[in-house]
Amino acid sequence: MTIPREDGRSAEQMRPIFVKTGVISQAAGSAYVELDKTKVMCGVYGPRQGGPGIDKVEFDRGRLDVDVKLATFATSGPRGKVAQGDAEREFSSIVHRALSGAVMTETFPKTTVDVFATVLEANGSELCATIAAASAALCEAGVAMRDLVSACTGGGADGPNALLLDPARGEEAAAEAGVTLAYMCRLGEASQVVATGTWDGESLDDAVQLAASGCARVDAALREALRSSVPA
Amino acid sequence: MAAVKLEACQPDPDAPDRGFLDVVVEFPPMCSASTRPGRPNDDAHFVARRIEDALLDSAAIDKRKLTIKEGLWAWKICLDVYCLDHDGSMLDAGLMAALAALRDAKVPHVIVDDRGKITYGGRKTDTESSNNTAVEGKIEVAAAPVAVTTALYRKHLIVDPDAEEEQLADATVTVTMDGATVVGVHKPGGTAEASETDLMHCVAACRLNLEARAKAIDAAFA
Repeated sequence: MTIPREDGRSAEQMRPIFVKTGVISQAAGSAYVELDKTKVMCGVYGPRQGGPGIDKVEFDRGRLDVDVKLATFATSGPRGKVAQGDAEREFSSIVHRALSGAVMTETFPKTTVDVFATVLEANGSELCATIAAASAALCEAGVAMRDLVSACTGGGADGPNALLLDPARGEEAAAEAGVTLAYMCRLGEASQVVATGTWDGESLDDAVQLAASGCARVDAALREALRSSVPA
Repeated sequence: MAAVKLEACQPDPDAPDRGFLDVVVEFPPMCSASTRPGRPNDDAHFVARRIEDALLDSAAIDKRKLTIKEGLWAWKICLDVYCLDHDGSMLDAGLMAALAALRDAKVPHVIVDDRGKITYGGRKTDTESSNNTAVEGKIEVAAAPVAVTTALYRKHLIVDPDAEEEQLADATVTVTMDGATVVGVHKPGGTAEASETDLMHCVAACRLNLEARAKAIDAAFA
């Protein structure tokens, strides 16, 4: 089954992925992830003492704080839209949930690790790029994790029957259904699945499989970048 | 990192022949350990105003040239400067990014018809009709101001300080120059005063670095 795509890819082909770690000199760990035109930068700071309030401090584990910002020029259209704040909050909570399954918070009790990401350009699948950047940055910062979390989306304009891997912005907007999977490849565990649209059991299975194959690509790119950042 | 967005809007009735330049500087929490999410950074406003001043005072941007149709439509240049990694001398880097983004920006082709309605993206051939006003091409950037920050630390002058040096410094002085002319000198407070000779040294430092920075921008367009 071949569907012509915006950028001439095949349905199950990802965009070229580029990962670079150690991009922010001030941060404990940082990463930059590019999925063709989608560009995300992430910095990890901490662990720092305490959290927002004494009642929220847990004594046997630490906290992970995630804050994602969308640059005003990330998308076209007039700047300073009200909806941007909502999108940022939603993004932050999704990324937080995707990572919290992997980060071993018991290794930094009573402290907080901050994950700050900025979406520089959004051209589809920016959520996946953010999750990937955050997990590479956490890894570079030396935060103990069970596995790297990579993420990928599978979705389709024609519903579950014609799935596209790693949709670009136009495809994302036209998609009627989609599955975003945050996956820990080495453990073979999914830390988060977000499915939109209507699915039947079998096609959802296919979509998750497809997204998992994308995650494997992302995982390989993350590992390669992290490995090459370590001096031999 | 800087980006330019253009919006067509109605000019200020008090200045119908001028457009707008709106500079916003953002320090996202990612860029340094001291910026927290939530309230905007005071520094960001300061840097934004200085960049705006530098662009207008050096006449790099002439607001009059942003008019599409006098009294009706004018361009608003929305210039967003993002600090990705705050390692000192933010104003220097911010101004360079701003200039480069302005030079790179493409102005869409617009047509204002007789009734004052505006249409974007018209074809170039639509300009025959003499009643229509068409603007297209690039933003005119007439000057290339360069800012160089110098930190004063005890008896020493440190040109282009990084974040650590800036923190330890008693004061910083930023000199903005366009060619041989000084466009601005800023010394935002600090615990030490800068003597006249110190200031002259800072200007000299700016003059020394001017060419290299201007070349760096030119190289990006080569």
